[in-house]
Amino acid sequence: MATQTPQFRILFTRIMGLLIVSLMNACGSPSQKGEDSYESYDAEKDYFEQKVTPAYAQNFKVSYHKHYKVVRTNAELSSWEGGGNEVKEDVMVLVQRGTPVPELTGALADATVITIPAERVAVNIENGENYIAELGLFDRVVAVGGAISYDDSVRSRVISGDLAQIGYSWHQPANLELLLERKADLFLMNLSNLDFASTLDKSRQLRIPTASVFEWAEKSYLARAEWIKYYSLFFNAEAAANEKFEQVASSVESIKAQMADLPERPSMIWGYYAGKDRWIVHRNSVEAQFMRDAGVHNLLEDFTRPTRNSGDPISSEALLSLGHEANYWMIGDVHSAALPSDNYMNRFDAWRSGRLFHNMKRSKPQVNAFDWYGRGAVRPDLILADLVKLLYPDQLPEHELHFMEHFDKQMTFPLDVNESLYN
Amino acid sequence: MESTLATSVSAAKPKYKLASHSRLFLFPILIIGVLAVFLLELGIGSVSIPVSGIVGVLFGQEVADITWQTIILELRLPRTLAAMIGGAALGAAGLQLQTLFKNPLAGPWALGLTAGAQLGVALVVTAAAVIGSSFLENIEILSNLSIVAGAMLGCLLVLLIMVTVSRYVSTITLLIFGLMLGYLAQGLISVVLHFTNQSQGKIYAGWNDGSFAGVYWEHFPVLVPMVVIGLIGGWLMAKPLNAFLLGENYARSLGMSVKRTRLITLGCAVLLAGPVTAYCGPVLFLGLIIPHLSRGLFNTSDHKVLMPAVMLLGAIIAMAADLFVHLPWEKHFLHLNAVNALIGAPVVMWVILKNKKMRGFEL
Repeated sequence: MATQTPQFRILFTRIMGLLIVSLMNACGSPSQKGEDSYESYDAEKDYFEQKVTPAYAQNFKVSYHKHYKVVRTNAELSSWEGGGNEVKEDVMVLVQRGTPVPELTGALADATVITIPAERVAVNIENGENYIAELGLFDRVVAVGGAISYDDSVRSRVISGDLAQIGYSWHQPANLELLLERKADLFLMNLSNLDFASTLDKSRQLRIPTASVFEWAEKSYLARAEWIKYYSLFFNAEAAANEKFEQVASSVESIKAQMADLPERPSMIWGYYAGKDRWIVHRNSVEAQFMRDAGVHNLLEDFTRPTRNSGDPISSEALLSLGHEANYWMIGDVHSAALPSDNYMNRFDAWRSGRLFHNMKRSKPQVNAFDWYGRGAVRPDLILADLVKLLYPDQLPEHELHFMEHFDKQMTFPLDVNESLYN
Repeated sequence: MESTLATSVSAAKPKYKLASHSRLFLFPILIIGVLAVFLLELGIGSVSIPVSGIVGVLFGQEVADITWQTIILELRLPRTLAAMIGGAALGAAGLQLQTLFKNPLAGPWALGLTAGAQLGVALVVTAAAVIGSSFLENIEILSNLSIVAGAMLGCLLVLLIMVTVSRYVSTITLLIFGLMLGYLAQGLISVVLHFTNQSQGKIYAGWNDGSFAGVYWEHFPVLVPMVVIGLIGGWLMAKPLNAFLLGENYARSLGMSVKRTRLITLGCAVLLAGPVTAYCGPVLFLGLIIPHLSRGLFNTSDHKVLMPAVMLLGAIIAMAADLFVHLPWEKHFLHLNAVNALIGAPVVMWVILKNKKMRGFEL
């Protein structure tokens, strides 16, 4: 080994060089292959006859340019490890397959190019699956976060390995190896934790077409639901998105109008027990908006506070002080912790009188599946209708409860309710 | 043999510092301190209640707002009592373990007992997910008994391992061993919880955030008798533990059964640390620092003095930490263990710097 000749070294270097070049060619993204073969491309044609315009959503924008779309997203990300905040702004250019990539200069210089319509899609949050399913395009999904979908067929496909598990955004950074292995041509990456932000860059470095999803940052429930339009952009499914969202928005507006002129508004609180002396309640969140729009007075409401869709923590004594006279109580995330003793709970009018609701009707706790987290953001009209139906049974006689139902005090959460809610 | 023992005893004697009677006046001060912090705990919280309201509730009078009664009697009082009992219990357990292991850094946390209890609870909640909750609920006699059993068994298991290992290794090695045992338990917990369901994971996460606020009246029938037995046992073992300070040979020379003393003391430590950890979650640092602060305050190693001292000082420090957590902060909740670390870590550093044996340890 110590007597290698110069000829051997030259030969070895050439072979390695050829190998590297071959590998680099093999790894080229689909969008880069055949860049010059645009035989059917018509520069004058508008490739996107159906368009969307966000009316409520603040965290994405889109502009159309004949054969490509420019999409901008933004959100303020926080580190879940206490590493501070950072505003993330993302620019993507969605180019129609078979057409050339536009010249990326000026504001588009650092844009991410994604070829559309996507055929092999990955999502890393439960509601991402639901937005795509609502568009009727779930057959294009090749990877999801994990095996906790409410839909049994999706879960069984995940367990069988038909759908890859890339990890949920709230739990871990996405598994990029699996994304490569499944040849995803679009990764709709929900990004809410600043600590995972580097995964977005890494994914793009690996030439996985990756789009940022900031639906969670929206400040109203209709804005969140409107992200169906964002999802549609990657499939040229704008017509379906407009139709679906219009149904949701008109239903919501209709219910709001119906509830606007009530002579009296009963009081309510919405909060779940987080163990020890902590509760998570809704003071300025989409849940607080639901209560307002359903015609109830949220005793904890404070729209001057920063929006926290995940709820605000409050101590047991503060909750008692502020909320004991509430007529109704949405117990909320009932699988989080066993409720405190009756001595405490009986101090609440709503508890004593049994005017209690919960929003986990569609739950399969044994498999960690809670549809509230999946379809809730997509169908706020059903949530609002549920709430109205529970509070005013005569107002929406045709509506059947979907996410919510009456809470039975005999349920010994979080353990026994699993069986009673199953299916 | 006689002369050898006598020599070792006489050599050891100067290390055993008898109680200084001039400092016994500190006990009334500590008792007043306990009462003062106790009243502050009842009086201060996220809801502002006037002094007249607090007094009215405590003396069963009618008050302006009916919720004050619930806040004080159902929330603050059990929490305060839990902090008082927990602090006393953890302080006493720490004192017993430090003497037994002849280790100034021994305590429920440093020796891995807390990690053992965490593992026990993680296994219980996982079992609930796998077997089905009704199974565990049916075998429960009292609320949360399965969690208590899990914590106690985990605690006991780790303690037995540490006792066995302590016979063969030095002080420093034992601490490192305890640390590694803790990491091992954390690794196991992480793996176990990964495969359980979300609800069970949330139960564990909620329990694992140490706090006295999770203790309600219905928990006291289990918590109090166990801790009281542990404290009485600890009190009765004060004399044998004093003998332990002078070495096992000296203890034997006094006719003591070393094995029996060790077992009773360990049993007391489990009775003290186990239920507190089970109901309050892992409460860090208190068991470690309270004995040192008591020794410093009373300037003695005499367990007859130290045992009541750790109980009183433990109660004060635990209640004070809990009070700090529950001050009416505007933003979020402070975590009890974060406050404990602020008090505890400097004390541990001080102990390490003060202790020649540890200061001189080099790899």
